[in-house]
Amino acid sequence: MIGELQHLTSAHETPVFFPAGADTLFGVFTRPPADTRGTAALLLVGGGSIATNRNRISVRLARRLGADGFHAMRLDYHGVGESTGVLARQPTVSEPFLSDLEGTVRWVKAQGIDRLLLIGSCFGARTALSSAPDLGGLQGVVMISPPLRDLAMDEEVGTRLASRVGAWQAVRRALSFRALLGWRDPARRRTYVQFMKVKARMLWLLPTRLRHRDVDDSWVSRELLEPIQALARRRVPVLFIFGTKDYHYEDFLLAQQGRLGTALKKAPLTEVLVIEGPVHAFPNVEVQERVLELTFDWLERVATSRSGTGSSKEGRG
Amino acid sequence: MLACPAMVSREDGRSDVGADIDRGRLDPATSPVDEDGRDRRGSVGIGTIGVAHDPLDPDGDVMSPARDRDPSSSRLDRAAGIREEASFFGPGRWKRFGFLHAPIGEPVAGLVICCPYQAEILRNYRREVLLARRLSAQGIAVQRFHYVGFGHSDGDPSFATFQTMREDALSAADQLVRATGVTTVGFLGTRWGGLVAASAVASRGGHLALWEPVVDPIRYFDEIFRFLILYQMKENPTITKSGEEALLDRLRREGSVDVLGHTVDLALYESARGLGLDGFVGTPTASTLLVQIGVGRSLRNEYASLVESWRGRGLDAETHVIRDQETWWISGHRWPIHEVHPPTKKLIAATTEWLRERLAPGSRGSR
Repeated sequence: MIGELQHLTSAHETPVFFPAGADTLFGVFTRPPADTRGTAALLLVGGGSIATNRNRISVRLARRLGADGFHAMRLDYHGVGESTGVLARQPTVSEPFLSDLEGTVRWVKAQGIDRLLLIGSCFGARTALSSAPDLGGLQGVVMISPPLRDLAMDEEVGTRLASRVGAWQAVRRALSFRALLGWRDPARRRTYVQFMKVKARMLWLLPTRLRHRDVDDSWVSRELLEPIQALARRRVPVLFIFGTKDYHYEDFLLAQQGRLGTALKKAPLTEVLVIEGPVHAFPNVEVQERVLELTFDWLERVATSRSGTGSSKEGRG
Repeated sequence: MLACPAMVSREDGRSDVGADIDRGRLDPATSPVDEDGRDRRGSVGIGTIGVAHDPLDPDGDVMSPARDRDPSSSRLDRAAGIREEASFFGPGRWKRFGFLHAPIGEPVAGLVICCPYQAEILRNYRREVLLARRLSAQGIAVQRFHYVGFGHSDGDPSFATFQTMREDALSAADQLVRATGVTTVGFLGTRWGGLVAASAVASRGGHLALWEPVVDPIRYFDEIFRFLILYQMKENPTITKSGEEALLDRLRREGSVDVLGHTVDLALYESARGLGLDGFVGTPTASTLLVQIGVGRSLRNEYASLVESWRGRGLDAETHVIRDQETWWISGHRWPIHEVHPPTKKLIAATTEWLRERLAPGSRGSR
């Protein structure tokens, strides 16, 4: 169990700069006292977060992994933290930071480490997944609450609301004093517009869906589905971690009725672990520890046996 | 004078508590951390999994260093005329993560940036980096650092106290002087970091810049708890406001409270009792800049009366108001891209100008 493990200090860490695309990224590389694995874990945070992640989750994970013989790299994306560059816009999962990950992989492989693990949360999970199919030496991918839709971060609220609120309730809410006031606020205005777009699309598709008793999963990102299929073909183990209260998990359950379900059935090395409560954005310390524990257990299993299959005690999604 | 009930003011306007900290005498018996910033209690949780170990025991859960430490890396930006160097530094077992931004040529002065606390660190991070890059391009070397127990530094937040944070800031100043040879060093702090920066200046003198500083630490913690309660009430309407007292009880009982995935720890809470920003700003402070970051157009009463009090004591104090919607403890779906965010640009321009005039009066800004 992770609780019984030792962990490293900065004595085993090196801050590094490395090129990635047009920018110079900053990262902290953890070297294990004894390289028993020959494997490096790359830790990819959510959009807008810095390399440490909330409450230093990435620091804690890197140091625990280091104590267990893994190398680890935590990094600031371009335009974030200590890295150079300027973000063109708010990170969007449909535009993952591939060149950031490519630069990181190049630097890590230049250290003589060819076996890689990708661990990403939210936007970082989608960045990991987008790069994964073509990545040589990939041993496994951990995706913590990955978004299934190709939405900008600020479009999520409106989309989620639209899928939860009925048409009549939507009209009533739209006419409320608070909602009308909200049009003055640019952020709320974007949410309302997104809400209306999604609602209109749902209503438009409703007759077709009723007629064909069809599952509409057109909203599930191709950039998510295709890499999952590709990784299954390559027999690369994949771990999904969700919280029962994550809206990404609601999407995940819904999507399993369609093509994602079919893809997962053909991916025996894919595991889904579900934690009670919210996991997305690591909103409490207990969840952070549970995620670290599950991730660590899984990585150890994968790294030692490459047979990470079967059901889990947390429940398979 | 601020309404800071536990603070005892002296005739010279500085608090006795602040003076005690200067002499290193604040609660020496009860402080959970010794002079080197090490934990006295002998038991430290790793996160919340409750693994006890002795940080002073090399055979404990913390593994001993396997090699000599000089882990640093640097980059040169010839276009901007700066070099940047990251390292782990400082005395004692627990190292601080530090980041030096320096001009390629010889710097004319130095600045230490003291970051905020927990969630607020993330909100302010890029602003600090951008300010440091701007200043170093204009000849002022800047040392940034993470407090022990936070960020990339060693240790655990549960044994960080106000005193260890102040030691971190002073150690960062030593590191800056050692690395660059500067003789003039100022301090800048944001939110909680404002208190730390002010206490460092109280100790070694210099110019002090403050971004939206915390004035009264205990009131600051109360506000964090109130924010948590409001957040919880939104999620679960059955929670009542009396939960605020319950949170304090939990802090005292369990040693920490989880505030949206960040801990507020008892050691820091207790160590900040009786302190206040006003108590640190006094004779050794050459001049002070206070920048308010918020939605208001004019200086809030809290800051206005503070500055009035400083000026009344003959101190050189300047203020600036930056209108911006900053939600310090909330990481929402949107956040500003600071490089192109007008309030951040104004903030950095105003601060740079003030610092350049104070720290390097003879030098010319190149950018």
